[in-house]
Amino acid sequence: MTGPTPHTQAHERSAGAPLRAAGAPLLSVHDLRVEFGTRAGIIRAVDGVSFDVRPGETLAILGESGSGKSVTSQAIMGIVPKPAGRVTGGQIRYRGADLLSRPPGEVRKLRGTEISMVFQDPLSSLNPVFRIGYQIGEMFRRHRGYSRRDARDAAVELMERVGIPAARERVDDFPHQFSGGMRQRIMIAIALALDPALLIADEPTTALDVTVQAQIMRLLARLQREEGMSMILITHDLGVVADVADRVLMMYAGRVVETGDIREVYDHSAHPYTNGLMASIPDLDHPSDRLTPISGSPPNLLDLPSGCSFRPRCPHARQLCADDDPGLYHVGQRPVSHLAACHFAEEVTADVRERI
Amino acid sequence: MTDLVSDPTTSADAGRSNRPPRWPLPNRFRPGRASTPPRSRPGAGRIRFASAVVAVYVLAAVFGPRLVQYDPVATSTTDRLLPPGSRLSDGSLAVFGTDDVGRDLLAQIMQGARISIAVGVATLVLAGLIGITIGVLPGYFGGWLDGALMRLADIQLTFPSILLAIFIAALLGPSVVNVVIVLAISNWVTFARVTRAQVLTTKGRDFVDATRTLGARTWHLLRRCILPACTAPILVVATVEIGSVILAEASLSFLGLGTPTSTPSWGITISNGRNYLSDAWWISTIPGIALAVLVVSFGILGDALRDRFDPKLKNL
Amino acid sequence: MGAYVARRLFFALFVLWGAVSVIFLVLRLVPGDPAVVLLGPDANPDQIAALRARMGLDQPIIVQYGIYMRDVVQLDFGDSFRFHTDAMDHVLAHLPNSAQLAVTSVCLALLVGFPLGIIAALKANTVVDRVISVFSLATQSLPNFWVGIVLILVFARGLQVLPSYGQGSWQHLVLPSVTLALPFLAILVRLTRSGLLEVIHEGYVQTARAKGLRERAVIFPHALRNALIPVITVVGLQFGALLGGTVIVETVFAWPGVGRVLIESISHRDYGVVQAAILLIAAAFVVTNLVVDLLYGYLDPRVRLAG
Repeated sequence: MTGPTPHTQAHERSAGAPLRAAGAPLLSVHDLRVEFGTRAGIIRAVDGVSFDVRPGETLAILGESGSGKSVTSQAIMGIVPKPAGRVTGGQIRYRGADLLSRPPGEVRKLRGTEISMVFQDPLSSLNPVFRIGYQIGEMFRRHRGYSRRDARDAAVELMERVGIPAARERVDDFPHQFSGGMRQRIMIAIALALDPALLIADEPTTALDVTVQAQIMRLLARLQREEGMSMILITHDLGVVADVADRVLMMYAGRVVETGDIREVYDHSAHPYTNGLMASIPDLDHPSDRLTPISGSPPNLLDLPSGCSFRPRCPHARQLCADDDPGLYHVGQRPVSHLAACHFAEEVTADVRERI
Repeated sequence: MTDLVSDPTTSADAGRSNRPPRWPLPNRFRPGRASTPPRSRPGAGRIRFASAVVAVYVLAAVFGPRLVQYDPVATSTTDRLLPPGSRLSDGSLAVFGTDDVGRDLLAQIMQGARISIAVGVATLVLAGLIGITIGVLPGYFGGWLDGALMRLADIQLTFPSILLAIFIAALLGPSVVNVVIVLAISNWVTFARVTRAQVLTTKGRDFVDATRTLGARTWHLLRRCILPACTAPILVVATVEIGSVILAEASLSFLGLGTPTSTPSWGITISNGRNYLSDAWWISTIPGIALAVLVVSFGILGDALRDRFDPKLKNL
Repeated sequence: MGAYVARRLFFALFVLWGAVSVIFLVLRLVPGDPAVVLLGPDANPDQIAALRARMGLDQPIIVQYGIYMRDVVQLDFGDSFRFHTDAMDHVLAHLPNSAQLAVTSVCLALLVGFPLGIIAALKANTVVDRVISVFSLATQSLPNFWVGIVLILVFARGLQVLPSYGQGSWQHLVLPSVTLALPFLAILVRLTRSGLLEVIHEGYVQTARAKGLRERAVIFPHALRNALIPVITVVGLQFGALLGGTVIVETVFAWPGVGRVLIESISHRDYGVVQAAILLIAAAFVVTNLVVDLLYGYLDPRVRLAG
């Protein structure tokens, strides 16, 4: 790495997280770029994304489908779908070592042991033809060399820990015999089997019933507290984020458009996209208010507008936005950790204050 | 037609998976017709190549016998078992050599192409008529007849079709018409199943419901809504099947159960040549190559058409 | 599992019953007197009259069917008029030869076909893949009687390393079993390849990668087992084509199996033996399909546990 990025510096000086400011980041992503080759052309799914994750903290990555949030997590795991997808630049430093320049075999050994992942759809993410005990136990057998019997016992223990009732009876069942919430608990058990330091949860509750969503989020929060893990929570649900995340990263069209501590971004959002998302959440205090959707449609990554990508949908857009691509910079009069990619960030925050 | 090729990523590159890759792009980010149409549609090269080969065979079958005279009963002892490239006693060139009674092999092969293609097409028409009728009517109306016919299809599918063909052919005796009947009986099932599946999916589509709501009669619905939707899969199946029908005809003839021994079909010629393997390798091999190239071409054509129009037929 | 086995068993019997009925039906639909057809050209009027009475040809068709089914259950297909022995016994005597050929071919096809298919999928869209795909497309559509003849020309007549026909040593087995295995092998290659490519983008394969498994541990248990499920069904169906192929291959290589008996009996119009041979091959096919179905149930718990 060629010295710390402006925004990591910014964060180190942040007063918002005094307890965590001491240690070096666990994970540091710098200027990550991922491209996908399609028949119609090359898509920049992730375009210069940078962020840090500190030990024990939860970072939420927010954005709609296609914003690049899932691809970012795939890049960290080293499982970008090949041959269509390709990491074309940047660094992913884990405990100081750049994963992108390491041999694939070495990175593979980190997967599951140091960095784990929970996927969106637990049904398709579990192998339909293998018993649950086998799929959980595989972690112990392949990484730790456990015998079949020991792995099975360890699997039962894990199932109990993630709250699957009658674990010993159900360890030999198949995924289709479980409910959606139970399947996601199994996925979580697999991810946490070897006590990873970082858990990436890619929309872990999206495919679940609303009633189960809260249970899964509580389980994740509890396990994180018990283990002292860091977590990257990828979601498009602002409501989920508010309760669990320390910091938030908003993505739009493959780029970071706003980042900062969670309360700060919620109360003083400095990017019109964040603003728009906030306005489209139902407000329980004023249920009669009409929701305001973001106008326009999500961007076509094959054909992005000049300048700011959000420009065509933005109420604040002016000529400057078409001419100049706004970089990520500190929002004036706000804490230094609060960055936004908008030429008129100050105006947007002022707007927000007015609205409140 | 357009909705069959709507998503280029699903019919992508030859043998690649038909599923879209699992990266998180919503549909509108996939290359679509609206933004930039893909330059060449999948399998265009294969389709062109295979159609060209098939066209050559059809031309040879139609015009060949007029150019090179073939007399099925002629015998010429001086011209027996001449190797490819020999001059015959009448001064003409035997490109592929002659057989055991001195008949020109090239002429014989072109006659064989005529028989193979005629039998193939006739069989497909017959099997198609039976299969489509059985697929459309019960498929559309449902009921006990539908269940019974599909069970019959199940039984026949789990029964080796060549065995059924051999048995029926053995009882009927060798003749061109019998071959067509036998092969049609053992091939209607595929048509019926594909048609039925297409009918069942189309029947539930909104535009069909809309047409019905507007007061269209059943016959109109079948003719204008249901059948057109079946065209593409049926054509694909027909292309895939014609190769195997031609192969089955040759196999039956080879076994003496297909066309009568007096006809110069490929199977008969190959079977005749077996008695002269040591002296005249060409009698069996060359018609076999002719047969193989035609069947492989139909195979390529069928695969390419299927990839383009209907990837979900893959396991037929 | 018990219910699943019972259902498959029932279906197998159902198919067998269907096959028997089709044979009965075809014999009645074909022009001519079934008794005359069955007894062959040299039968005298007394024999014909006797058989007509035995088959109940003067009685309603349903009674004829009853008599026929009774005989089939007792494996009684009458006598072979050529050999004056029981038709089924005559066919059964040749069964071991056919079984030897078929089993050798299937093993050969499985041992070569699966690895080639896996290699083609893992090297998808490379030169290796293209070569394998072209090879399998070609061998799948080559007429096997012609392949047999070419193999005889090359290895028996040309190189003179293998015998061209008959049965005896293991060398006799090589050419017929290779001929029989080729189309089956080609289908296996293609199905394994497409099956693997289909599951490689599935979520559970991504999960297996995220678990930090070695690529081999991702492909072999996780991807392959799912990929094989659809392959197995088609393999079962293709086994019928292989059994049909034995008829042709046994004829080409003068292999003394059931298929050759079938063809010879047809040319001598010995229909008692023809019926017996057809039913025996059909039964072999039904049994192997039953085995495949059970294997399918073993591989896919969703099928097994569905009830």
